Amino acid sequence: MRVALFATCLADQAAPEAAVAAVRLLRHLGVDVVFPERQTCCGQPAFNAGYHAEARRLAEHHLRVFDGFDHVVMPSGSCAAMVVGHYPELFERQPETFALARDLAARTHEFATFVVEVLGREDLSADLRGTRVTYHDGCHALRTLSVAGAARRLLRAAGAELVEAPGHDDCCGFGGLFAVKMPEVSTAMARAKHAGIRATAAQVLTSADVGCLLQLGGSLRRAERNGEGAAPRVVHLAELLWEGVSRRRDPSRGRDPSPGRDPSRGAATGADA
Amino acid sequence: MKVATDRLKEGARAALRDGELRTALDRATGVFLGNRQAAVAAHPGFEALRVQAAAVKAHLLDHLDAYLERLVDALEANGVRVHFAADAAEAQEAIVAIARAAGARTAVKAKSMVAEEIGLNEALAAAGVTPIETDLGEYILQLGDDVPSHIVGPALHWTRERVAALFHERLGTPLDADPAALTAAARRELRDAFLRAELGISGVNFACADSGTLAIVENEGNARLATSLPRVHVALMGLEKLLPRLADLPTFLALLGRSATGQPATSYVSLITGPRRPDDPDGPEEVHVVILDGGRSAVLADPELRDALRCIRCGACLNHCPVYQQIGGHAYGWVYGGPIGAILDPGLLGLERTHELPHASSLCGACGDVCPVRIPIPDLLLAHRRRAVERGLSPAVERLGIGAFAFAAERPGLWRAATDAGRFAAALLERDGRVQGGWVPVLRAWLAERDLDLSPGPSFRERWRRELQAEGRRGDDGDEA
Amino acid sequence: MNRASFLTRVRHALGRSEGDPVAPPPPPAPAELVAPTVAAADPAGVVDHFVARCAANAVELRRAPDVDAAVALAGAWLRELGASAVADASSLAAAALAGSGLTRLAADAADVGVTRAWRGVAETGTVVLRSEDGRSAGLLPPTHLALLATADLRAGLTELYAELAAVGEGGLPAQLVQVTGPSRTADIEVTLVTGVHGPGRVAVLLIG
Repeated sequence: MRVALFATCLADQAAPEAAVAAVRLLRHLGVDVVFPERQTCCGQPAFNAGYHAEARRLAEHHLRVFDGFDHVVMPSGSCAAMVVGHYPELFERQPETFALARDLAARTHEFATFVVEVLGREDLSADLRGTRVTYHDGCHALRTLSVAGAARRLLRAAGAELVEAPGHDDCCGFGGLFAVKMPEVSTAMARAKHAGIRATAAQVLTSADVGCLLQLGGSLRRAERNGEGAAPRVVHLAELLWEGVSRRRDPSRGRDPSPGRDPSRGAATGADA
Repeated sequence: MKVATDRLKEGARAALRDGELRTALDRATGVFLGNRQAAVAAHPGFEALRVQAAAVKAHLLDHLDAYLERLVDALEANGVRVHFAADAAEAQEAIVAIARAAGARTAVKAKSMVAEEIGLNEALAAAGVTPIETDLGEYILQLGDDVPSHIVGPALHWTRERVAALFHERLGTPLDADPAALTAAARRELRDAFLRAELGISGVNFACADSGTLAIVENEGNARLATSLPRVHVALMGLEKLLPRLADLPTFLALLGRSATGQPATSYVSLITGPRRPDDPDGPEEVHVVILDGGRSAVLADPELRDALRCIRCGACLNHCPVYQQIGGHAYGWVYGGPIGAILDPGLLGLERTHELPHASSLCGACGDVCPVRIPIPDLLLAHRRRAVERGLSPAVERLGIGAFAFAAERPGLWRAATDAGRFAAALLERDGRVQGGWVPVLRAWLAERDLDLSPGPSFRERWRRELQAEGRRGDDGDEA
Repeated sequence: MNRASFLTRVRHALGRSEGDPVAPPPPPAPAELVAPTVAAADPAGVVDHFVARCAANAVELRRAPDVDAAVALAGAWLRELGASAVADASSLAAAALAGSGLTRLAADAADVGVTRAWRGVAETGTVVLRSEDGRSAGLLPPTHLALLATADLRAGLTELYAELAAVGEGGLPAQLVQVTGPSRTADIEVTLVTGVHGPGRVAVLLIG
């Protein structure tokens, strides 16, 4: 099985540890992962803003970069949803490219669903016992793909104490460009989730999308600095699971959930081996 | 209603600063959400109803010409007089003429969004006919000189204290009157109006093309009164508010109540099939229907937008929209707000005036999930966004930015250089573990209320080159632990 | 605008040209209201369900074995409900009012309106009033007493509407009203208040 990783522009730039963890986890599961270096952006920001011509160009680039792999995996529900949900539509009037797009869509997977549904694995030999986790459902992951179930199954199989926050499937307000086009509304939407998240007393907030994590982590951290209450550690699902794998291999790592990457916090100590 | 659909950002900011409004919105949407959820959970066939209703409405719209012909024939056979209004002005004219012919001095009005659309109250008043709102929420707004903010509960942005203060001033009720007492006062005040009015005006929830029956759904009883007591009844409807058959009503009634307020059945459904019969003890002598186009035929003609005309005005999309929950209805600037407003207003009013509305959305999709007639709202939002770009309505800065982004993203070498430069610049802006770049345009918007660490060391690309490639070759992490 | 121009606009919007529109294919078949909580074939179940729904809707319900008992019971009930009453045009309601001894007042002044109910719907706890019997008695007074025969109870809205649809041209009354509980509003702070413009108190005497 030849598997390519699409790191996503957001993870590449703002949360690389998420993509690093995804690669390590896939290898841990026996998958040979390739990183085609010419990859850039799937085109979602342009598409969502209504710029179809630009989105088409980026999609064509993406199609070329990921030609020839059995599967393309990405640590992002929204990017996977872009390829799966909208690439074919972009090329409705270009039959050849349409066929390529449909083909790629069938081979494109968000990370957690790839592990659970394609590899058929839930038990990663990971140990997250004693870690109280709450999971945020990103909108695309929830509605277009079946990430909600896959993510939770992976966390439970690792022994995490999974607690649902009220409003766990409410939109965090990121919405890509929406966050900077209507910033006050965007942050109001993020803040509307704070009480529910804090009520879980979770040590960790995780999700399958970097955008959501930047948004929620960023607003929780700001609220914490403003004295509104402690923020949980905010970390990508792949990273969290990889920590669990590392802990299982080397139990001396202990149960302290605080080391490691939180995209909205200060520079990492680097929790990986 | 006056169109103010180009002031969304201001309206949103004002709404976010309005603590009273935020509390009211929170309460209202929370109750509606909870009630709908309970009602849907208690009705295992709800999804099947949605599928059915969507199919019926899609069919109706595809054959709307034939169904309208049928409806008009059936209405006239029932003794109903039908008037056709191309636009708001014609609708106003038709109703004023009916009012004059009826010698009406007052008109009691049940809730009608189309009446809001056409500015009926102003037209009636100008013609010397006093319009009296009788739906409690609309009555409050009329007394308080305000406009609706929600399809189902038009005055839900008013606190009880504000209503009590208004009623105290205008009706003499105690300042501490609770909702029950305020409601009782409204009932008393309006009872006389119902008995005296020569003209009753209503909307139409569903007009059944086969029997010509007008179905009006309500809880208060004001529509029953307005359509039963006055000598003349005028029903105002958009040209899309039909159902093919009377027998379609159970499906739509089951969906409307549950979607709007969580009720399996509303208190009243009136089925009107003509004026009073000779042997009827009471009822209006004349029933008129005014059918409004008002831009709807243009939406019908647009294959991408046609589905928006399925809307049965339940308000569920508003209640579930996380943006609406924060900013309320007024920010959208017209009769229809929230997700349905964002897709319908551009169709009825033109994108030039309304192109900000489809951007009042993070595209979360909650609206489409709950729409009882399965309008693919997110797809329509995207369609409007695309058209705004095609027509040159998007901000120049944005066009340039997206253009530059796309230019770089097609050229991996340039992309790497640009993103490395960006991360380098962000690192320069970092202090205390956070990026402090409030003077950089896009960053400013982000940083206003969020923290950000944008310098997590090397990009993934770098990490791949430095560590992961080698790990792969060594077979690290290629084995099960 | 006249009918022809108005409808032509719609026809053109659909991509069709002048001339009579083609008759449309039949619409998708009406759905059965899935969740058959009430089996139409089970009369006892239908009555029980109606009784339960009335309770859930804050509708007071009593029963009478037959019409004669109903008139007597209704008369007594009216005396509990108020000091004055109005009846709709049905002979049943008139008999009940006469038997109550209550002062007869016009609908806009009476305490209670007593009406016949043409049909009932078990699924929702609904009574259906017909304009032939008059509209005011069940609408204006603050209390409404409806007299409904179990033989007139239908399992669900689907069954009711099948009956209405079968009525044929010109057969529907000028107005029918489905009444499900008291008049309500939540327009002030989503606080539920009963008794807005319609009756705030609804009672049903189920006969048979």
